[in-house]
Amino acid sequence: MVESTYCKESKISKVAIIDDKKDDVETEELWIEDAGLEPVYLEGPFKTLHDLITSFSKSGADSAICDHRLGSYYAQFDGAAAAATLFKNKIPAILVTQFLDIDRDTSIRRWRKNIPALFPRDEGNVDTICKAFMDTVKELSGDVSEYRRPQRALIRIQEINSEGGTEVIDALIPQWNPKKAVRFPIDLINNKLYEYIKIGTRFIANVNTGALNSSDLFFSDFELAPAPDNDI
Amino acid sequence: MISEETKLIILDVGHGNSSILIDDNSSIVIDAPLGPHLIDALRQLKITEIESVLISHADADHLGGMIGLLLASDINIKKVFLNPDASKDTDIWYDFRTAVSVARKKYNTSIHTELTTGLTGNIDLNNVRVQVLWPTPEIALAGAKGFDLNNRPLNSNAISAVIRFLYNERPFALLTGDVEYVGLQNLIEEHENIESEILIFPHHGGLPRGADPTKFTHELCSYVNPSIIIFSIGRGKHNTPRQEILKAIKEKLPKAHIICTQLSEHCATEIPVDEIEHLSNLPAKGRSLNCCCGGTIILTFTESGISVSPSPEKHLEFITDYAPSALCK
Repeated sequence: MVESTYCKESKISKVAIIDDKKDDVETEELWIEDAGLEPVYLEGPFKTLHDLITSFSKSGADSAICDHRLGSYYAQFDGAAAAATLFKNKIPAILVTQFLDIDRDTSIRRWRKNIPALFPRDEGNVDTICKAFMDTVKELSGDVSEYRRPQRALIRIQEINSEGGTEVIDALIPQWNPKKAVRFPIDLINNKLYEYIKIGTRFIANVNTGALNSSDLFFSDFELAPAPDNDI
Repeated sequence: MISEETKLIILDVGHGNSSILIDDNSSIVIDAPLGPHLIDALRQLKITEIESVLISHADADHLGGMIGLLLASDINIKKVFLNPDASKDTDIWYDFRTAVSVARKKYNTSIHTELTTGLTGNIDLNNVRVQVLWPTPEIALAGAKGFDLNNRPLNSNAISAVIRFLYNERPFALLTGDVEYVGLQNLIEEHENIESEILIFPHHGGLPRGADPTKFTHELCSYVNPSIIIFSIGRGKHNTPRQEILKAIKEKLPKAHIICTQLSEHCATEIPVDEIEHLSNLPAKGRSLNCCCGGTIILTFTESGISVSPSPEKHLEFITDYAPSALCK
């Protein structure tokens, strides 16, 4: 058993596992036990996120690790939604997935604001999960890292596309990187603003412009940017 | 607010420029490049109101961060000064104009489309006089695609604003933006004296357009005669500071203290493995990659003189250990 400094500092002890695949659950149990923590598996099925919260409360766990793609026989929502909902309920929850490259711009980005830490499954180990829990616990305590601090930012729509059945926007965030487009699901924008969504439209939203990688960006609180007057 | 001392903070923003002048609970920001470090520094310093933001010229590495600053609801900017640049008919210029529109209407920020010598005396702080040494109004009217009165071609860098601060009537800092040869010639022709104790070297120590870098540096050093020269650079970006410029400085001003915000690849091929300990606690772009040299540099002014943080001694210790081929030695 490796006692990670991060796990000690995060002060968590019992980790709920939210995952529908037996092999992955076993791996997660090993990571958790190796970190000196106690795993507890949450048996589904979960029709709603409320069901999940109820089950979590009964488990005695103080934290959670969620797989992202959950089979519909196990849950009617994905792991990102689960992790974000737990986080919003002040529970340190982290996300793991083998589909990070595929889902990061859509089903994960949708919830990314409330997922301080996630990692690809092939990078999973004791240190990874303990660091992830540490980062999550810190953010819950109000210590938000420079990479996660939201700022009001201008967003310039470059294209509107579809990815895996989800309508997405490809945009530039000049304050983050004026030369690298970022994709996010259209439903992050309030549907009252949909009529304004077209190429060239500018919005203002909360974005963590200190993020180092585009996969870590999250968006919230969109408003339409006014067109500038001809005064400059 | 933050401090009753007078300080000039040269932020490590990587390749770009950004400075914060603080005097008697008031502040001025000069240039705002892309990235969160300026806003983070302002928040860490608990600056919720800025008297003036001066934008030297419209390149993204001096202006791009204004978008976020203008949109920030927790930092009130009273006035922004800049010269419009019609050559910048770009998306980011439009983005900036959009942010200006928001700030003007939502936060009552006053936008002034002039940053010229005519403003000298109008943007002073309590203990600090602010001089705009360049451009003159007639040059600003020519614009970045025009010509000076000697028919020399201008560009965005040539009309980059040059700002000097005086503390108790003593010129202590000259911020030169990206000014290059034509700008320097006009500056020298316009003013008898452009001396200053501290020089923020133009264009991050990159090649000055239209001039031999050695001659340009010799001329600049002669006229400014600084004792401290600061380069605001990004490691690995654009080959700055140029080695010939450092050589020219040492020829002309052998006793000047030279310091860069980040560790140039010319000074050390490897980034230090150990944590760099001499840095201030203010945000510095190079910190996350451990490639700071001076990092964010803090100059504090008192009646008895200027103190620099990191101190020249700490800086020397660092470069002795980690940058044996440092260009500034």
